[in-house]
Amino acid sequence: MSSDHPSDHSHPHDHSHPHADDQPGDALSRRRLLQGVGAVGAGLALSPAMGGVAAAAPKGRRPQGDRPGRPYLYLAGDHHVHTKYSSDAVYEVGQHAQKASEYGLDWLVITDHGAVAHQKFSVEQTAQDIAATRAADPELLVYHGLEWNIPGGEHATVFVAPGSRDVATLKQFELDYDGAVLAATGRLSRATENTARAEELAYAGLRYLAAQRAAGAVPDVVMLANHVSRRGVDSPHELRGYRDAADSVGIGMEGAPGHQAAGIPVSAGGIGDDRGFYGNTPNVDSHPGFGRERYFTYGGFDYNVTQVGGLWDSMLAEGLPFTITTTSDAHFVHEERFRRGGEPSQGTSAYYNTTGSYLPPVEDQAPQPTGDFWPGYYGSTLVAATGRSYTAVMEGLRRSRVYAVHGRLVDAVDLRVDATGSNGEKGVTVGERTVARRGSNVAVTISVTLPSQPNFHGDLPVLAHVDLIAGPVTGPAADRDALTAPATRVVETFDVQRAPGRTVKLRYRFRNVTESFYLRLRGSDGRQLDGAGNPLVDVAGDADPWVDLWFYSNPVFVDVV
Amino acid sequence: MTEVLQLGLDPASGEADEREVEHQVQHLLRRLPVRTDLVCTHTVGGAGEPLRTAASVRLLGLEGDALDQVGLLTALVGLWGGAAVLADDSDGPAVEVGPSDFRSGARAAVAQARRGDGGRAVRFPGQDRLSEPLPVAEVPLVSSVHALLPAVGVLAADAVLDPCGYLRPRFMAGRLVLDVRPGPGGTVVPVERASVHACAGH
Repeated sequence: MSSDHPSDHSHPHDHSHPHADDQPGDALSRRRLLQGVGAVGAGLALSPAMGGVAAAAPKGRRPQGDRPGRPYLYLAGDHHVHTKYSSDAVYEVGQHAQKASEYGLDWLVITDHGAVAHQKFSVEQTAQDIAATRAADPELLVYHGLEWNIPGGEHATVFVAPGSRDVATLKQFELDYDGAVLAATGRLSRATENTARAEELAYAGLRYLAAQRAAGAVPDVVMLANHVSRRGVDSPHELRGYRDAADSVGIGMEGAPGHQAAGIPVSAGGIGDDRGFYGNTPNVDSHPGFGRERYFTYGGFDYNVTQVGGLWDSMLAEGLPFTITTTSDAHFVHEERFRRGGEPSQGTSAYYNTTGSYLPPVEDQAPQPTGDFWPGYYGSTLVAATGRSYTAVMEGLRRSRVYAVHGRLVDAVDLRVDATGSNGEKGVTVGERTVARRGSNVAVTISVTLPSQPNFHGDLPVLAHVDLIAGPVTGPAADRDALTAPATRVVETFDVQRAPGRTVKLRYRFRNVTESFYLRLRGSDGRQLDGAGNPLVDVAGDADPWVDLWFYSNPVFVDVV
Repeated sequence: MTEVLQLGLDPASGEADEREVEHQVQHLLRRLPVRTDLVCTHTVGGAGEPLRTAASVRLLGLEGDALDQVGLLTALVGLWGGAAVLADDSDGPAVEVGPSDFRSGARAAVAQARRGDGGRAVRFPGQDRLSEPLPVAEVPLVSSVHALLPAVGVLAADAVLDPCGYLRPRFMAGRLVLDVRPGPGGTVVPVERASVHACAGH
């Protein structure tokens, strides 16, 4: 199936030459390699072209990257996980780490909610638990983070690379800039109050973090906005503001929220809620320019991302990356048997508020239906990193060398963009930029390794199609609340159903390029699409996430000179 | 008292949560001898200050004659704090009780209610006839909800609305509309829901 080429597309290209040629897959052998590095069952952790080389490299040899053709390690992770140090969660840090490893993750960020009790009591306790977890499993990168109540906005992951003053930095940031703490201490009427003073506190917080990084208090620190469209309180100008407030701290957002089990119907043992716990109506702090269609997930992803030519595209059209990810947001995991330990009174928020913690969880319940999956069980954020290190993963996230994958729809994706116009596969990859001469051709090669093993639901996913999406880079947005990029289009749809485990190569050529543009990918199992190949809105109480699988890439930018 | 009056209420708390305000208003109305067929929440405030939620109540009359208008408002403010405004359909001065800081919110709620724009209806005429699933075409025939507004896509003419026991239509251009979305089993359901389990338990 090929899409029609829209005639008004602003960067010229004539005909593509897509074809899919099967190649023998070797995902299994790579998976065995992975088992040697502690990523058992990942299946998602390596780029087919490059990752195997890196994983097999002798110990101590630092894989190279950041230049076209150099190998990256593809490291799977989750930047949004809650523990007993959140007033609404239950698990130990170590439990999440164990599950993350079991489900193939290489990195994990602990992000308990910002709150007065958390700031006062929880941060050091969390640091101790993380230190113990790192010692127990050195292969898993466990970051210390926070789910920040952005003043005037949504929640966000903030996390740091380990450093001499990481705990102090997190504590001071939470004390001075967390919306819940600000509200509790009378500095805001409420965390989300939609005022200029609240927004300025958010930007000041990001500048504080950047200053701590510059001063060496933490080796690195980044922020990603979470469940962005859930309540409509992250306006377009706020998202741009997070990006621009401080150098390289506000780097992106969840392209897909966690809580992906929440839409499982009651008849199937779920809670029958909205996928992602979306499905809200605007409140007094919601951005008035948002229509009600934005408040739902579509194929499990946020409308900012699923709308071709939507808000995310309008930011990419500025020529700047803004990384999208997927996370678990795990609080209580679907069909698990844990409850908070101790007496009933010790499982209450009143207890939490005096301790910043709950007692160790006890596994003595009947399996409980909830909205969450364990980290890695459903979603993976795949980061192309120059090495298996805390700072390398963060830099990969910052540079948008990232794929967001649900349900192991693909074992690996390797997007290559070659501005020399040859069919070479050594072009730049996701998150990178390349320069093309005006009037030249730009070749795109997409290598997709189809899954060879069932996902954690026991299904062998079938990738039905891949869309190549592109749009012109038009420079800084004149309207900071712009939420559309009208010239961004699906330029090609590839039908890719092939045998499991095979690597499919898809090719496309932009001809006679005349202006700078970006391109990105999405793919799905093809079971829930509208007539234009877009994801359907997730139905209230009837959104089984396992029969609606998608992956999204971040962009490649092509600067035409 | 037989004339129709608009009562505006602005809680002193600066409360933003419209569900919290509607809960407070419903509680209040149960304690006062008033009859009403329309209760709405309204977003008020702004101009650099945080927005908040106020309420309006269309009064059909007082039960008995125990309270005059000032007495009613004084009782309301005494129970709830904030400010209360009572206005009839004329452009004459309204009766106002409470701190001036909050009278503006109560006045804004009354103004929105009069315009039929911006209110979110907690109670509305015909509400009790929308308790069971029914064809969407019947909704305006049995209630004051004028139309269903799909948040996504288009609404099929033969679609069935499952009210899920919770309806909060809103006023647009003088008419009540209900935001709906695809629901289980091909139904449409209100976008705003009281509890997911109340509706999605299929």
